[in-house]
Order: sequence, then C-alpha cells, then structure tokens
Amino acid sequence: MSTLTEKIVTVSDLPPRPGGEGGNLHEERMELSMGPQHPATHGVLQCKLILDGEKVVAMDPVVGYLHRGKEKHAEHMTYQQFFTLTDRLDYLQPLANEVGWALTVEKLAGIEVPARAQAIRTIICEFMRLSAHLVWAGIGGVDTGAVSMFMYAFRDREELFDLMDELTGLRTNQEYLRIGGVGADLSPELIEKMKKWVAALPGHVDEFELLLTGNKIFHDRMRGVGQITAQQAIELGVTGPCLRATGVGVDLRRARPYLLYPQLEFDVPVGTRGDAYDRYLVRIEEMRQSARILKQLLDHLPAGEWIAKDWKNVLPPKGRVYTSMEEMIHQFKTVTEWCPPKGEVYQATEAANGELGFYLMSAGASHPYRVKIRSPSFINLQALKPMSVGSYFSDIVAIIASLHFIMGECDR
Amino acid sequence: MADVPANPSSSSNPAAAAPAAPVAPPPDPLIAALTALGAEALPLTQDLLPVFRVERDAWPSVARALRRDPQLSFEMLIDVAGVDFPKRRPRFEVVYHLWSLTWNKVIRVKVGVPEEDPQVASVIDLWPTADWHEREAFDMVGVKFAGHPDLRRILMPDDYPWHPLRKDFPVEGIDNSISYVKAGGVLMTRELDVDRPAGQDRTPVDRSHGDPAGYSDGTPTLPEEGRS
Repeated sequence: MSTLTEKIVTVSDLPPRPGGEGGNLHEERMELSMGPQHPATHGVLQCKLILDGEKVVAMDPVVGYLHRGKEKHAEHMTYQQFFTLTDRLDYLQPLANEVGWALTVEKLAGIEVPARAQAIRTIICEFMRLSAHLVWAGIGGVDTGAVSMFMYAFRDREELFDLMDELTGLRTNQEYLRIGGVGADLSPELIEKMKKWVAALPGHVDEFELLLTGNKIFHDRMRGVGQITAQQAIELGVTGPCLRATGVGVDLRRARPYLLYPQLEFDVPVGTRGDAYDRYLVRIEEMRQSARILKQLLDHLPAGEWIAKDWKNVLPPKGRVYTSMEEMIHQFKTVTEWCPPKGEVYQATEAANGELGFYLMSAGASHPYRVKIRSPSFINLQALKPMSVGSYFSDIVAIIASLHFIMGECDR
Repeated sequence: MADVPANPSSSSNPAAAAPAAPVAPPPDPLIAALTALGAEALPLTQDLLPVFRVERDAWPSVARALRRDPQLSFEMLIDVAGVDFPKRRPRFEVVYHLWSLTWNKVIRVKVGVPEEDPQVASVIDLWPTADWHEREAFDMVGVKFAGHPDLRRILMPDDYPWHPLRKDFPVEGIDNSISYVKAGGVLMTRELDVDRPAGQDRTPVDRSHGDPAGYSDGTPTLPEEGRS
C-alpha cells in the first residue's frame, strides 16, 4: 500500500483539464429551450436559456402559444357574452375574472349593485383567491419535490369546487356573474357548508406549513432563490403577492378598494427579502386572511336582492322570464339591443396573481369598441428574466413555481 | 392629494345623471403641472380618472416628468393599450395608465400616432415594464416604439404579417394556411380553411362597431338610440 502514498501531487500543479479548474468549461455555452411543453412551465411557456454549466447566463421567455385573441373577440361580442371568455383567462379563478369584468361594465353604465350581490361577489372573489392559491400550493409543492403537498392542497380545492358547483351549477368556468348582480342567490344551507369549509381551512393551512415551511429541503430549494428588490419589482410592474413579497404592502383591496373590502378586516402580509420563500410565505398567509374575510362575510351576509332590479339594463332572472310577460320583453330587449353609454373605464381588481385590469372603451354600441385586459401574469412574467439570470438551472423550476403565472391569462 | 375615486358601489355614474355636464375636475396640482408641460386635460369619463392628451413630440418630456418629478412620481406603468380609430386622424392612439404609489393616484395619458408614421417614443428607460407592453401594442396594432431595444412580436408568431387588433382585420382571421414561426422554429402549419385556396386573402371587412368617427374621447353621453 505504501507505493500509493509515495507519489504525492498537488492539484494546482496539474495541467488544466476540461471541466476542471482552469479548464474551458466556462467558455462552453449551451442553448436550451425549456418548454413550451415542459411540465414545470405551468402551461405553454417557452424559456430560451443559455447555460454555462448549470448557471443561467441569459433567458428569454417566449409567450403567446395560448393566444386566443380574447381582446379581438370582445369587440364582436355583447357585454354579457364576454363573461364566458373572461372565465378562461386565469382558469384557476374564473369567477374573480368575471367580477372584474362585471365591475368594469357596471361602472361604465352606472348600474348600482345591491349590497347582497356585492357581498356574494366579495365571497366568491376570496374563494377564487383560495382556489388559485391552493393550486399554487399543490403544484408548487410538486415542482419543488414535495409531492404529497399536492394531495393535501387538492383535497381542499375539490371541496371548494363542490361548493362552487352547488352555488353556480358548474365545477369550473362557472359563468355565474351577471351585469348588475349574480346569477343565483346563496342559499342558507350552502352558507352553512361554506362556513364549515372556511372554519376548517386555517387548520389545513397549518398542515401545509407543517409539510413545507420548516422543511429543510423545501427551505434550501426556495430561500434566496429568484430574489428581486422592491425597486426592481415596481419598475417591472410586478403586482400581487410577488410585489408584496419584496416588502411593498400594496394591495388593491386596500389601495383602490372595490366591492365590500373597505368594510372588512384583514391584514396584508408582506415579505422582507423578495425571494421564492417569501413569495410562498405571503401566499400562505393570504390564505388565512381570505378565510378571515370569508368568515366575516358569511356571518353577516346582508339581506336583500342578489341582482339589481333595473330590467332596462340587467338581464332578468330566468325564472321570471319564463313566467312573466314584462320580464320576457325586457330579456329580449336587453339581449338584442342593450347599449351602455359612450365612455371609457379602467377598473382593476386584486386577482390572485396581481392587478387584473379591464380597460374598456365604449362607443355606445352593443359591443365594446376596445377591451384591453391588463393581465397580471403577463406583466409578472417579465420578472422571470431578472430572477433567473445568474441562478442555477434547477432553480428556474422553483422560481416559476413561486412566481405563479397562468398562461391562459398571460396570452389572453 | 385627493384620493383616487375608487369604490364602484358608491360612485354614481355622471353619464346617467347629467350627460351634458361631466363632473368638473377638482383643483389639482397634478393637472396644473401637466398642463404646464403641454398636456391637455380631457373631460372625465365614468371611472373619474384624470385623463390627458399629450402630443407625440411632447410625450418623452412629459413621461420623464411623470416618472421623475417628485411632485408627480408615477412609479408604476400599469398598462399600455394601442387603439385603432380607422376614420380618425391621427389613426392610432396609445393609452397609458400610470399609478403613483406615493400619492395613490391613477391617471390615463393618451398619445395620438398617425398612420403615415406610426411611431412614438418608447418609455422603456423610465419604466422597464414597458418592454412587453410596447411589444404587445406593436404586435396587436402596429405602432412602433422608437428607442425600444427589442421590438419583436410577442403574442402572435414571428412571421405573422398582420396586426390583428386593427379594425380592418376580420375576427375570423386572414389566410389560415401559412406556416407560423415562433421563437425561431416552425411549430405548426394550419390548413383550417378548406373552402379557400391557400394564399388567397380575404377582403378585409369594416367591422368598426359603433362608428369610430363619432367616438368622442369618452365624453359621457347617452346613445341616441338602442335603449328601450
């Protein structure tokens, strides 16, 4: 054995080797196209990457594979018809998109919405935030290696969809909103079921945290990854939980309030470092806050109408259309020739991923003149580049998971 | 600073109440500062956001003031929308929505762009988020942004020849038989329209709903007909 120790070489004396220190690895650049069919890109996002070993040197996100021309279609649809397409923007929170569109059209036409309808809308907005965050928690867990997280998050999401099914008649892409209100009332039995679900949720969020928050693997995977500063986030137009994770406490429910949010008690969680782990923590806390909002609303749901009885502007409920001559005429007139006034409205709501805005131009016709959808996923996706460049290739999956965009909303 | 008019539930529609007299803008240092820079304050629309029209040549200096002036400090560019008015001169309009986080105030700025020279200064140096916004406006309406370092199409394929949100572009598309290239590679070839030979364009149809010539910058007025 002694022969082996006779010759001792120092590593630094060795000639440069490819792949080793002093080798030419750092000059080898590899171009890699990740997606558009990559399972970790959450839909059809393509990332064109230039890698130096495992390090990302350059990145260019390519979007548009799911472009369906919703803004063009909107110019050829009536205002009520366009609800169907808004469902398919962020398909994890279809009703929240519908609320955004309904508020835009109502602001344009000056339709007053009854308090109960507003409360129901606020309730479904928070349910949709939870729906989106639950999917994010489940899929994000899978992306970062915590596969069991998927089962826990989707258990709650399925129960949530059962509630939405009972409320709207459809499990997803509900088309429940009407201009002037909602499609159906919230029954006392359903309120009890919702209360039960909401009461159980904080305990379930604790379970998620037990699985992930203190988990060493998850922590190593997320902490310090995809970090951006508050300044960068504002410059890039990032909104929603990704902005709040950098420490900017801007939430449209507070900053530019709509619906019943001014009357509700809730906290806006902010992060400190702006990395993937903070984005995770902010969303987890938002789920608890949503449960808090829902509890307040479900306990004190105002009585009254669930749709404005302004039949010149609002579609009458189907039950009355089939039984009353007057409402049948109104239904016919509203569907065929309802025109809001000329004008322009920009209305933004705090969707699960950030500021979802509708900029609506009306020329006084039955169809919008121009609809511009300010999609939070599209704008937040710009931050993917500064987050990824300089990080390791495997971190991109964690960054995408924590950024959480929906390509249906991004590409429109 | 005045608060942003925000709550849709309580804000009544000025159009419904008094179509002839829109709500007068409140005395506001913002309006005075922008008017001094050459912006023209337009009548309020239903969302009660301050609206300004800026000449194309004055837009770079106005944008710089909006971003850098501490009295204004519009830190966030929310949205850029390209709009086509085929019967109006200038034909295109680029609509910017800006948000001041300092004052919690949102404004809308409109810049007209003529068809003969469809170009407006890019604001990417002031708001880096304008990158994709401007690429999208270029892609959809065909307005070019001078000074944008990488003005490519973003939603449509690289070699797509049209700008789909122009009003003379039919909603059913033109000639679906071309190969589409995205991100440098051929990804799909579509032969959807079997009735028409490949390569034959459809005549563009004017589908400008509501006669854009009569479109009057959102001055809230009720339509003459259409309501029962």
